[in-house]
Amino acid sequence: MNKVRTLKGLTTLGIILLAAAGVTLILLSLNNKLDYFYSPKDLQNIEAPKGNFKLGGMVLENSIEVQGIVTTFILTDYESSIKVNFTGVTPDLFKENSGAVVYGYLDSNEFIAYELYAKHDENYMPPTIVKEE
Amino acid sequence: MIGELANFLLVLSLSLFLGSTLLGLSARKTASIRILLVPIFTNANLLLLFSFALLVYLAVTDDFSIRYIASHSNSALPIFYKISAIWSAHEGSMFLWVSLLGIWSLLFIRNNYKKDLFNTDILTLLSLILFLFSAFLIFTSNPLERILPITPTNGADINPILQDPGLAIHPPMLYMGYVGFVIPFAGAVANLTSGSTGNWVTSVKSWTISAWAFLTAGIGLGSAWAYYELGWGGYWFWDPVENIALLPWLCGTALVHSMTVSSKTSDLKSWSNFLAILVFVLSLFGAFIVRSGIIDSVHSFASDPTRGLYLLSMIASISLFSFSLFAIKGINYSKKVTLLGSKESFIYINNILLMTAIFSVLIGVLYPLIYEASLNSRISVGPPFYNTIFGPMVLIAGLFIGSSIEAQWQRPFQLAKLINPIISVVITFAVIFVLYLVKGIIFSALELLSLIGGSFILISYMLSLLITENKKRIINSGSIIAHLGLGILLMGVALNSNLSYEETIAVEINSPKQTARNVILLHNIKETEGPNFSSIVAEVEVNPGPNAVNLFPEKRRYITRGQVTSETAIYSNLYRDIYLNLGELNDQNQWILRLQLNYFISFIWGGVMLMVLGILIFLRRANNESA
Repeated sequence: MNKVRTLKGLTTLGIILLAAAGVTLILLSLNNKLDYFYSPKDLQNIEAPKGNFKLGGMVLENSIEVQGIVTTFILTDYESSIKVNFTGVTPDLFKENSGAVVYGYLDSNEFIAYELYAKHDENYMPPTIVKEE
Repeated sequence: MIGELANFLLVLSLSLFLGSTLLGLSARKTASIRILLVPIFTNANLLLLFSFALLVYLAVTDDFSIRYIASHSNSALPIFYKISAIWSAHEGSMFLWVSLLGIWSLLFIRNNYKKDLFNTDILTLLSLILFLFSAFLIFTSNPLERILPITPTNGADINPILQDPGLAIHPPMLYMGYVGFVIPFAGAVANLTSGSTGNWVTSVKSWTISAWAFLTAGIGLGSAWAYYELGWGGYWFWDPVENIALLPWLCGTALVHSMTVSSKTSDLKSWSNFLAILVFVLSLFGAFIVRSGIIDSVHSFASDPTRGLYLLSMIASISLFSFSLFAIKGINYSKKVTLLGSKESFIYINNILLMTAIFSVLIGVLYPLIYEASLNSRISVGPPFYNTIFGPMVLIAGLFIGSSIEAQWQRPFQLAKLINPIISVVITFAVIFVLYLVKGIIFSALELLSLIGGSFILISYMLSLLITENKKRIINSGSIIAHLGLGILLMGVALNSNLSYEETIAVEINSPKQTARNVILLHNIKETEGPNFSSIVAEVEVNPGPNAVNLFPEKRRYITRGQVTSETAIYSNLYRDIYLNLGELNDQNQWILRLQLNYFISFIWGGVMLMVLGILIFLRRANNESA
């Protein structure tokens, strides 16, 4: 009986250790693959992140220009603004005075976006802005 | 008038659900009450469904005094979309959700009610859940609310992006899957409360498989809709809203496999019990994430913190109750020894892998919340995380699935059975090597994992089917078709990721443009009128000559909302889609076009269809067995 108990205890311990190791591995892999999410104002206050990150805000009125296949516009949270450079076809809901999220990197004072998202809902405001109101 | 009637019926059904919950609880002591239960429960559900039918009627007849219909429908809409507008936003979606819950519960109780204690507990539990969700519907999100005294003359219309047959069918399918898991949940919990010795797994197994089939089809349809309607050219984005649909699917998959073991060998009963609780809790969790808007998603849904709080407390109490019950009563240690290489041992591995997958996705979904709360900085977890986790997992899964085909219940591993898997590995590597030599195709590590996993399943199943003399023994056709579907899906994913290609260009009308791989000629831009939109259509010829493909991508402006949507033009054959999007006119008077060559998309859809087909065949077998 005691032997069975010891065996059960050891098995449970083994399972817990294995699970802990698994969780650690997952969390480690997670930390290398996070995308940070900022608003234009954040970029004033913190050190500019290296590598890719997400940036959310509103598209400033009269700021969209399309040259060739490159679209440039100004993304703002009504406190700070930043010029964004995007190559490709813009989503249907991308328009002035409407929310947009871009993914890419900072090159001197411009944001080079690989990806550009506009939200489904026209009433949408990026949460970063809503929160501060 | 009809609106008030619908509202009244809904409130009436709410009180009947409360009644049958309370009666059900007292029926545990006073057996004579039990005869009342089924009629009350049946009528409560019928009232609920009748109320939903009235809302459909109101939507079809354009009653814009109903606030929900006024803000989500329009008299110019085709009837089909007037109906689907009901589930285009929060209130109506919740009503559909609760109604489908009612349909599942009613069907199950009508089919299974024998006067034993076990089913009384199931009925009580279903009543309680229906009561809670009807209350949520009526008090926080009533779709039948009126606009009085001045009613609008017309409605604000449904979001054009949702005016699509794919999106009209996708949510009901998905919800059927989510709420269908209430049956195994109720069965598992009732099994714990009544301490029933009867095999609860047999009585809910085919219901679980049906819900799983709906969920699989629902996710597949959603993915297909995103592919052709959203115009990104992808089919899966690891967005939170997709992930929370994947969670119950993974858990449902684990549950059906575990139930198969429980009904064949009477092992894993506690485990099936646990999974049956988990799968429904994960479905509810999904509803909470979507409806509360707590996680920033590319899909956006109307959100409201009060609703989120109500849902969260409901889910918390349901899971706390059921998991504590399980912890107290549900755990039985089996003293049986599992033979290595037996069919059940393979299913144990399947369950371990699926649990790992569930855990990883859950972490990916919740991590941004935890991170924001603790470090006050916003992050998102994207595809790289999920791909790294799922890559190795699908390879391991593929290797085990491929090796498991000839395994038998409670029989040990036989060395001779390894021949097919070994041949399959050799063939797989040979094919990949030939692809490299002939076509110069180099796969990334992640693509290789998925490709090898998929082709291993495919080849070893094919070999077993061709070679084995005793075909009858191994042919459980449903399971084979579903696993073949998975194999094809995995190969499709890898090949698509490796071969797909896209280019964006700006062109003037009638001046052919040579790109890296294609010649694109924009013939014309035409303006046309649709029933409730005006549109511009581009006539584009890709690679003029004998193999030319003509495509007509479109941009529509919907009149009521003034919203613009793009209609992608797709030319498909078995191995490749030519996928063309029309962009904006740029400042130099050129049109921007995006051309994608998406390879082996048909493998992905075909794989999902085979999985659904396999599950349905498997369901028929399970039905025959339990009958």
